[in-house]
Amino acid sequence: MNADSFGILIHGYGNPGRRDDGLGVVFSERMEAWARSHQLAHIRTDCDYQLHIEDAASLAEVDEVYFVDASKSDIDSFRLSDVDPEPRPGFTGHSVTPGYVLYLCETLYGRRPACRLLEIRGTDWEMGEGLSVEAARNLELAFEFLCRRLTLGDDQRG
Amino acid sequence: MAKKITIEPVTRVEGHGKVTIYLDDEGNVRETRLHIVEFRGFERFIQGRPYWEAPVLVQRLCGICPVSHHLAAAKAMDVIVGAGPDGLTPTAEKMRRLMHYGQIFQSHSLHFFHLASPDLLFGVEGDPNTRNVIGVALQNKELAVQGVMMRKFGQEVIQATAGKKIHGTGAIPGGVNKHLSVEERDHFLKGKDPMNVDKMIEWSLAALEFFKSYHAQNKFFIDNFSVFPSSHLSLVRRDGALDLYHGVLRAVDTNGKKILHDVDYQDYAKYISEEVRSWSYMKFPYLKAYGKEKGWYTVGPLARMNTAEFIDTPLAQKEFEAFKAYTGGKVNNMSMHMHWARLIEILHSAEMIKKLLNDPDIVKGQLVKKGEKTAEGVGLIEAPRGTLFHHYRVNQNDQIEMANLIVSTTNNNQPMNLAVNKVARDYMEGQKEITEGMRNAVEVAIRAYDPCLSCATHAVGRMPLEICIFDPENKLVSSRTS
Repeated sequence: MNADSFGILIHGYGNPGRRDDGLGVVFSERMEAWARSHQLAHIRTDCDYQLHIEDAASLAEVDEVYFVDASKSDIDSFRLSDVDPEPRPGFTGHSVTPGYVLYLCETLYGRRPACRLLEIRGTDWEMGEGLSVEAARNLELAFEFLCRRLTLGDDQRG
Repeated sequence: MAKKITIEPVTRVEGHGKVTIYLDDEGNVRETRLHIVEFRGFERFIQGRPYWEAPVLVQRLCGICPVSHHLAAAKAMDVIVGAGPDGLTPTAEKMRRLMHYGQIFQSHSLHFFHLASPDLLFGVEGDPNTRNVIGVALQNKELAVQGVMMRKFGQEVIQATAGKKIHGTGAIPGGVNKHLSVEERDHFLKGKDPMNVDKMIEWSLAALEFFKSYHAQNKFFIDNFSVFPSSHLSLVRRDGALDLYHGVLRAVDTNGKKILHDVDYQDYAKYISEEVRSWSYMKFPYLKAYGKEKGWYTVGPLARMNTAEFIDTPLAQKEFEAFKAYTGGKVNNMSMHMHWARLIEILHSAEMIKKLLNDPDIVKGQLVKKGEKTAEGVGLIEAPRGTLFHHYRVNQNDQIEMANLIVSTTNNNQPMNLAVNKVARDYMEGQKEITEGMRNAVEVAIRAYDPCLSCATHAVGRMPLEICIFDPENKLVSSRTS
């Protein structure tokens, strides 16, 4: 681990007021409780409605980051993929992609943490609170997966 | 053959926008429209919910300006619980103001440094591949980093006052639910460089200098881009000072004449109405006394500079005086001066944050006050993008039975449409080829308003949507109303 950095960041994003869109936020809150109960001080969490440009500053302080987002895609329960820097912003500057945040971090702060996106499949995007049954099940599977992964050594996580 | 140009989506603004420009056979602009294509049924969604949930629920409208909705709803609920609109405890009002100035500071910073500065640094017709914040970072890294840190500082102020980042709970009917801790206060006052309020004030001044220097070198563009006569509306303090949290409603016409005379916003419905047009989900508000054609107005930073008589913080007041002097005290209708106005408000917000942090009421004192309940309440706030209206009525069971919201971007619907039209005529008329730069010029005009289109639409089923398809000869070949 870098002496000046803080280890691993789990950053979930989405709007919990739009049912399964809040998967990333719920995941982040669960992860925070889990890290605390296991006294894993090198793991910190964050959450927000969406990713913002200032998240680039947070990325500059860690070695490894997992963005967690709800997915509408036709994937299994969840999917983990590497994030590469993405130099072009998306549709709007108020809400940006993980790749753009990473690119901004590298450009502004000269740091490039290992960056991954954990997508969890959701099905209900209407206004309202709480996850759908399917999304809750997918969240459990994704949570178990990442907990196992985070307890592995740095070299085993790849 | 007549041409139709569509710019979709409008980049670097919130939600989804669509601009349609119709040119005739000679290449003249026949008609322009800014369409709002995203749709949310929030006002219906909230019906039936207990009133005390409103300040938290309304944040679901949009992840861009949740604090503004949170505070506007709380202000309306203050009235309903008998504590408002002027009866909050000093601690409650100051904590809410701190939250609000944090919001204004971060939102304006994001807009200027990361949405607007690429256009200034690279020009309207600059290379689209570099005309973004990465381009800014590569050319002026210091500016880009300052923007990130200013945004981060404002977000931290919000988190400390609202309680959490998502669905903040700080403002409740009749007050707030927490003080600022001494540690939090000291963090913002004396935090490690650069994360302290003095550095934020210093950077706010530097950003103003950046703009003024740019203005001096690009006078024609800044002073002539998308200029058209407009009325302006905002809250002002009762003594005429700029006040972003509370006050009375004032509007001035394009000659500076008061056309709405410092009225109590509880009575807003007496003065303001909204027109529905078949081609847009977003309504068109107007002052009833002046009718649909002449009663429209602009809201936001430029409007606030036009309605206010002074600013109650010393550094921002000095900048305000320079701003007013530039037009000889007359109403300013230069769209690009919205950036200048926004920067003055960034400075004012930083000064206000410092003033509030040094106020002992922030860390102690009574949090909530209540009185005799009423069935109806209106909450207004000057959100970053302009005046935001929340209006609720509750029934005997404390459930919300009516909600009406006029969001800032809706208030700016007509001026944004006129801005599109003006720029389309200025840049496209008579041109053989429509370039990327010309299209971006239209976006620059919209972007000056910093619109948030994702929450600017109304309840499902209350407004018809008409879909029309025209052939190149402009004949209607198909239509549907749903």
